Amino acid sequence: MTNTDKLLEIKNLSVVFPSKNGVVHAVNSISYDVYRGEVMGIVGESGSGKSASAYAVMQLLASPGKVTGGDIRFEGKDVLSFSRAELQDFRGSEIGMIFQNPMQCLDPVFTIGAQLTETLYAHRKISRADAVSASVEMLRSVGIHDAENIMRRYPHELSGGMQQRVMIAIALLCNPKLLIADEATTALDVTIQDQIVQLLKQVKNDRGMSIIFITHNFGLVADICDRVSVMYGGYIMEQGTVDDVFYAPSHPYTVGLINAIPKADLLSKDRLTPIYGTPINPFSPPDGCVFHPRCTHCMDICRKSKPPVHQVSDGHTASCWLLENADKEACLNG
Amino acid sequence: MKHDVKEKSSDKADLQLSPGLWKESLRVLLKNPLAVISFIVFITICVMCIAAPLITDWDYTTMSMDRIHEGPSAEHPLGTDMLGRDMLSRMLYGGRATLRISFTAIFYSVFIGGVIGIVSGFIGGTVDMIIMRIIDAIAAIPTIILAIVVEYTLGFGVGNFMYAMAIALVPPFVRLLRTSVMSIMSSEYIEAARALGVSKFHIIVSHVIPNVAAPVLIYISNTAAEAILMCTIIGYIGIGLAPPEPEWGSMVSYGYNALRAYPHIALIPCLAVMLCVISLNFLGNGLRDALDPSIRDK
Amino acid sequence: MDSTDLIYIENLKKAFPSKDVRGNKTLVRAVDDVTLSIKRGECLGLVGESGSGKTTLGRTILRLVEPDSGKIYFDGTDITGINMKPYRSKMQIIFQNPSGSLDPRMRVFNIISEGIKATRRGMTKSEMSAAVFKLLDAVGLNSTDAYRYPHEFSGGQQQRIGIARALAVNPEFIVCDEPVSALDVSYQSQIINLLEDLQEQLGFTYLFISHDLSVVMHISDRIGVMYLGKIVELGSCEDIFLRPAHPYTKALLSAIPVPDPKISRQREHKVTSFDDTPAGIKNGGCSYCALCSYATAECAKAAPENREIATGHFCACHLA
Repeated sequence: MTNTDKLLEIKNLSVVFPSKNGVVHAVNSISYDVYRGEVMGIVGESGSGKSASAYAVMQLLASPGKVTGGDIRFEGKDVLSFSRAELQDFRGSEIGMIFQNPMQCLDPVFTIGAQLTETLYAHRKISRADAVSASVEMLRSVGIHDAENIMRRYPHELSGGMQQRVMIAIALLCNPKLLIADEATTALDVTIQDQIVQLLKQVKNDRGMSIIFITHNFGLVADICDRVSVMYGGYIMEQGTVDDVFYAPSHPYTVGLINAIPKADLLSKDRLTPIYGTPINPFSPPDGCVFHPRCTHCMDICRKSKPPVHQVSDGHTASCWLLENADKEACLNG
Repeated sequence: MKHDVKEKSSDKADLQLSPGLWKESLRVLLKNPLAVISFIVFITICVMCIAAPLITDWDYTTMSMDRIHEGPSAEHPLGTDMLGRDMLSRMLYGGRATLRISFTAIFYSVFIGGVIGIVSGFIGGTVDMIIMRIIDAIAAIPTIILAIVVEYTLGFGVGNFMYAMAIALVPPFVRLLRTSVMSIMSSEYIEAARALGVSKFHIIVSHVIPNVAAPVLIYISNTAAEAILMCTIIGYIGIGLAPPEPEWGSMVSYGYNALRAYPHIALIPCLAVMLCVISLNFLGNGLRDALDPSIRDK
Repeated sequence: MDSTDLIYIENLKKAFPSKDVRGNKTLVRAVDDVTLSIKRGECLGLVGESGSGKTTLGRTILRLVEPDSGKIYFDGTDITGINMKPYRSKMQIIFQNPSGSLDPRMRVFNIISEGIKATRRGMTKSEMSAAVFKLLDAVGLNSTDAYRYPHEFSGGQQQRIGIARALAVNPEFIVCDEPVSALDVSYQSQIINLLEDLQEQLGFTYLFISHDLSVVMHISDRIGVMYLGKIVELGSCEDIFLRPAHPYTKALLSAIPVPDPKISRQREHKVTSFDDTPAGIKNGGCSYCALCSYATAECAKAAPENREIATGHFCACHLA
């Protein structure tokens, strides 16, 4: 792919959250690119820093979090140097965002219609009639047939799935080039989750939009993502296309995650293989590779120094000392 | 046992007992300079009032009409009032009265409010509804009027208004306890205790009371300030203790008459009240930060 | 009822008063005429989405929630309307929220010994500590953990403490109410394995409640699918997975994310409907009728009876 296909480039991004008990290094020098029209999955457990990197792109890190290093470029423009006004414009019109809990993002005292049109007024000069018709059309396009009726409703009158659709509609109103979905389906029931995921896929294809899909659910990654970054303890452990990551996982953590969830064949009663150990303490992360205390292949070097990023194949990288040894297969399988 | 691998927490080398939550809170509190200073200030005031006979030889009722409105001197460190009485001894004995009345009122209100609040929150339903409406009615009576009524019934001038203060302090305390108890009762650990067959009495003693203790402590320190103010106001408007018994509120009111010429007579008791109230409020804030883990860990 | 049944519930009903979005009073039928048996030593999975009443059903069986009507039998004894005290130690529950189910102001030792104190009086201090340490060991924790507070543990470890508390009274039957839903993926499998091991060693009977069909399918012997207070389909894992009869079960199965990109791509996604789920139950008809893509005129008129469509495979659908 050429450089112009890159919509978003994140290079060596670091994010810290200072607190009374010490500094939490939420994101440590991670890099990833998002190409036009693709879905980039960021998968990780709680505390892996998967959301913080995306919030940094939006410059929406909750206080006291701040970016301490690295470079974020959106269509070649340096996001971190944006002025307040540029940022405002950038947030609504170039990037849309949807969250885990739509109810907290919708204002309870305004109707759905008011919230949609408000978004349009904020970013475009548009007449009221046009704003309403654009809003209705947008609601239809996210699968709400009864759009006129929904426009007059208040957020609490809608189900969780419906609220999330409205959130997607609001995010899409200004034709963003990138949509960040932060655990957008986690709070929803399985059937509704499936609908929302299918909707996101459809929207992406129709508009040629890119999506950063942040989730802890490895199953969803297989469904929606083109490429995926596996994060643990603020580092990207492995990155590649979904096929690379699912069929040729190269990092013990990825292998562990895949083995820890029930297989596609649900009737298999094979024992699950958990990843043992406990989560890392964010205030005192382990030395060396952050995953080493839980890794079954831990070597001496893993305890001492951070593994470099290893090119497994074209577009497939992993950070693990095992890969530096030639007989990696033997290590992982044995 | 045939677990694949035993999960052991990594830092098991240290066998030390983890500090209790109360100890941890105390540690946080001691790190807060404002709270520590406030505590020392307030305790100093209390100790001085209690130790009044050791600090001053003056009798707070001894008048000397030829030495009125005097400024501070070696003999009278805080001067004398409009009847020539020693201000220091009046301040200390007056503080005794004010603090005693305030704390007795809080003690009664916490005791009565505690029982009502826990019962109301624990039983819920109609009982709770009736109790809360009665509490609403009590909260609607102005404290001063309540104080006058109580004094009228039980006798003026001997501090009976502390019962009125106690009654006035009950409603907010009941509301606080009721909501705390209700949120605790709806938690899953109570459900777990019920599933284990733990008796209602034990649930209250071992789960509810330890969990409401923290908010109650914060509440008491904040209410103590309020009670001292309330006591001062009642004394100030002249329905407090009967003369010649000193008490900060009435002392302010006496000094008020000569405020322009001899401001120290009113300002000294004012300052004492202010110090108490400010130090108690800072202490309360410190306690809240120390006892509420959601604030503490930020 | 059969002698192998440890738990048998008959026409169990529980409704909660509620208000709809317009503020009108309604009744939410959380458990609506459920009849179910759980065999001794088996794990019955109960799957359903939020609001399906699966949690209420679990708590009603333990009588933490009193049923409006119906009977609950434990080992052949009707336990509705009797003093539960002697039965508390035989039936236990593990909760979804590991931190919320542990008293933050109690040390782990007291949390675990609470049940022992309530059910078995007159234990000496040393016997008690021995019992607590043994339980901690059984759930994979250290005995030194007994003197710590819940907030010092990770979610997975807290869930182990919750399990130890339930085991402390030697129960026969345990309701696992979404025990892994709040945990990260890597800890989910630890807890699932632990529950499986304990069942094998101690012969527990489980009612495993979850919204995640793949987890339920993994651990259960039989599965009940719940929708709006009713069990719409009940059968072995094979029945549910290979021969789902109820349209809702089919919708659930097709919605599970498959952790395999190739299978995922081939899968056709049947999106049932884009319209809002009906909050209440329509008069008379099948409660799933509004969302069902196979619904006929009959479905809107009469609620389907629960029928046995194959041996041990029950389904409440006119079309099955």
